[in-house]
Amino acid sequence: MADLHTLTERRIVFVGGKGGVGKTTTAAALGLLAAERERTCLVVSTDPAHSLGDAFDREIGDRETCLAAGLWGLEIDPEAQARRHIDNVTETMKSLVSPDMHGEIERQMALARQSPGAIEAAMLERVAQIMLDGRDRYDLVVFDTAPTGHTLRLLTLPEAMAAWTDGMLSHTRKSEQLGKVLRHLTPTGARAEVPTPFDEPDEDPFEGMDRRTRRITETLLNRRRLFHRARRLLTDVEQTAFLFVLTPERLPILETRKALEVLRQFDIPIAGAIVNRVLPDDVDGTFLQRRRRQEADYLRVIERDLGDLPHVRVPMLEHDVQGMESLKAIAHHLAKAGI
Amino acid sequence: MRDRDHRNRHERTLVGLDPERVRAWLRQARYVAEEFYFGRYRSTIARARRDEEDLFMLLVFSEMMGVPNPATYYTLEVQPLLLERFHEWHLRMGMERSPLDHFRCC
Amino acid sequence: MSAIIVLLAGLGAMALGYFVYSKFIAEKIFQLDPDYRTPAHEMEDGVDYVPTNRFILWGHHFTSVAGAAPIVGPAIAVIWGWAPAFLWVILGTIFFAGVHDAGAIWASVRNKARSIGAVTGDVVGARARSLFMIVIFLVLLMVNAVFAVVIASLLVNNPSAVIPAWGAIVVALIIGQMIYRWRINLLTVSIIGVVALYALIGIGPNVPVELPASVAGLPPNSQWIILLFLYAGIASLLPVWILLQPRDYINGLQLFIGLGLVYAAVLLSNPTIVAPAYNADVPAGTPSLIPLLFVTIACGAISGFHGLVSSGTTSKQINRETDVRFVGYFGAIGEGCLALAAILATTAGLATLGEWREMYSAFGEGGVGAFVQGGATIVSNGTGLSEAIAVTLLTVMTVLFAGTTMDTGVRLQRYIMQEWGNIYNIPMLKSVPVSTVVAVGACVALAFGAGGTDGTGGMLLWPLFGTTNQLLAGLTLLVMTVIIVRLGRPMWFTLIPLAFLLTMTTFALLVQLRTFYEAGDWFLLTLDVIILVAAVLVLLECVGTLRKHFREARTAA
Repeated sequence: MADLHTLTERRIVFVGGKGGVGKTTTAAALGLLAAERERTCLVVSTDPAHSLGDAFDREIGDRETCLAAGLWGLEIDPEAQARRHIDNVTETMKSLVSPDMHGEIERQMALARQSPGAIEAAMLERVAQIMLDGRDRYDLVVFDTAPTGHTLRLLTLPEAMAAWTDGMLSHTRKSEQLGKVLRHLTPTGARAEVPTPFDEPDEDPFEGMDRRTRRITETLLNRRRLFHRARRLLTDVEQTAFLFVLTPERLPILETRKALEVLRQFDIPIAGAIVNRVLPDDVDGTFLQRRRRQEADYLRVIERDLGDLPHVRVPMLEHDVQGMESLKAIAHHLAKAGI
Repeated sequence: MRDRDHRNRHERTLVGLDPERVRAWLRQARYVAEEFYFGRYRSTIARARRDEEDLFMLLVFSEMMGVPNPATYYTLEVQPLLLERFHEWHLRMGMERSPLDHFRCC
Repeated sequence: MSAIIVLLAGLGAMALGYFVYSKFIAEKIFQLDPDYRTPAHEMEDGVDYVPTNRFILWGHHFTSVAGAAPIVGPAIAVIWGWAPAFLWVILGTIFFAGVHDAGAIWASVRNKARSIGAVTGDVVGARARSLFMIVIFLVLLMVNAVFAVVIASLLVNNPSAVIPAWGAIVVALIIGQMIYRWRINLLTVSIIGVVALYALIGIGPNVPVELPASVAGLPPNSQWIILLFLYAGIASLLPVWILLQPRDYINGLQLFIGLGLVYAAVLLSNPTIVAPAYNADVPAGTPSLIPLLFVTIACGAISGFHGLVSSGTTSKQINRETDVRFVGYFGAIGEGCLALAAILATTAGLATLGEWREMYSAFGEGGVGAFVQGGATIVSNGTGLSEAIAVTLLTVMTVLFAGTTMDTGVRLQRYIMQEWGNIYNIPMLKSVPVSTVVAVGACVALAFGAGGTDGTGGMLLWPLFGTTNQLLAGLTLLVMTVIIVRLGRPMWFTLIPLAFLLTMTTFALLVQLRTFYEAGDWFLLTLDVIILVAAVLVLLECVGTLRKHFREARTAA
């Protein structure tokens, strides 16, 4: 079972949790920690509302950017990704139809570009690609994921997608087989008195069809391969781990509990949880002391409900986490907690 | 070589059997027999294949017909490959207009 | 009377019909136009719409229309003597079937190769179209029931055919796989198929199979009927290319081998027709020749089923419109030849008149049994094959034809059920298993209800099947007549056959109604009434439509 002590020795870590609990900070600090331990690391933000750049206090964007020695950052722009994909399709479509129809294709595709499904799917595809290729270039890839619901969908999608492409492939295969039979049943002898599409071996009408079938099959197979491999990697205990981040508050705890169930159901290895922004013992002022008493209740709930999940506490800092120095402080806390 | 061929042909023509004509006749006979016996078989297979492809097409274009499809984004790149067949397909379905609202193909 | 003379007279008359009458119909009535762009070219798609050489298309059309019905009908009808059956087959082919089949193709070709049902909807009206569907449903129901009875009695009477008849299904499955999976050379496939089938026919007489005398109180005939429908139900659910298509292919091979064998044997042995030309001494209970002859022989003289094949498949492959004459009319002649072979086998295949009378001891007796026995005698005398083998061969041929019809029939019936399920929103009927069970159940009920249980009364259903088949033909003729009237051409060549058919079928239904009433057979009585209602509706539709068009034509003039 994965656990927290070996977190930086893994190849892929997903950092997830409810919005606003400090996922980005944790992911950035984790990356920093790994880099300090001389493991080259890429921190990838998949949240459409990116804040990775804010955490490092600099611009990152949709390309791998060096942030420190051995540490790189990337903010995926799923909209650009979807646009690229759909533009590719549009180009292929245009090359197949008469120029009169180009306008129609543009109009059709403009609609597809904005659909939420397309953006989600583009994100999934990109994540899968980074998971698979990222390992060649980095020792560790840390994904700073979007809020839980979105992330769960992302992680469980490969299975659904693989099933769907399998179904599609079985249809193309059957159709291809029937195509072969058809060719087999087509007379080879003399020309017919009447031309039919079956008796012109010079311009074999099936040749084109088969090329098409082959291309369809290839396209689908590539997808399937990507999803299957991503799925296998995702469930590989040796390489992958999911890290929850939560704060000692009611809603983050509830959400973590629910997410835990789903991830277990999909066999995604879970390393543990980071209980973030725990008020330090020496906090002053009656207001904060009262907060701390309530927090203690929630910490007990965490012990009770998530007790079997290894977890460490990270104290709340005096000031905002922004910039390299404060990230280093968090990384230091993480290291002290045994990560 | 050619001389011998020529002579051979000449000899056989003498007994009334031009090998070229015999071969052509055999080819024709084979064609007719195959067509006669397997023509119907072939159209059955062709129809089965077309049905299979229609189903595939329906799955690929399902989103555009209002059926939610979990993988539209991924099938999008298959669509251009099916575009040429889409026209004949929708004609066959007896639709006066393509179900693709922005996609007039008649 | 020498069989050869009758044979040659029949063939000569049909040839004359083709060269003279069909030429007249094609040129003057249909006015076929070689330059008309046929749907095969207009909508060519390489699947359904394929312009096809007319000889090849004729082969496909003929193998589609030929089945067991042109054997069974004449084999029953010779009870009135050979001459009435012979005349109705020959004249029916020349003046009715040929015109009907070619006309159905023509009407379809001129209407985007749509099915005759759809053309009916356009030309006559929506009501006629629904009527068409109902009659098709009744025809399918009856053809399935009656063929199950026919096959069951053949298998009970000829146990030697059991192994080859069911073995042929296995051969068909293997042929299907050889083509589908292994893609073996077509010539090899054909040779293996034919050799395997004939090997089975060869061993059949050595391993006769008889079912136990009673299973759960059911006699062998009933057991076979249930087994057959079990098979047809399952077969109708398989993709067509797994079983149905290879079976069809074997039938195609069989058809020409069987037909060739019988004709060659008649020519070689020149048997004498022992049956009287007109049987003045029919067994008690035999209904009168007029009108029953005209509904007993439907396929072979005129069959509405052909209209479905003509418009569903053939019309989509017509290369030039002038080919309609050859493909349609000559297709009908092919069927006529099959019916003629059945007449000769049942009248010239028995040694003496006494034997013949014994065979035809009551109406509905004899039939295919007489065809198999008589045909086997002729084949064995003519070619030297052993009689046991010849009997098995002809039985298997008939069983395979009838069986394939059942496969298709149950399948089509399921489609109709599902369509009704959709139209009238009956969720149960929409499901494939339910509609199959309902379709099969209805056919079994009909087969049992008609007295097929003990293998005696089942053939009472036959004239009713013929009647419904003729009604279907009547509707097709109506469509053609309306088209012809609209074009301002002479309508008598389709109107007279139409009037004749409707008169004879209604007349026959009334005669049978009385018979069933007197016999107290309430099941068949009900069925008769249902068909009578359909017939009256068809009649009213015809009168109404034609009157409307006459009036229009008169005002236009």
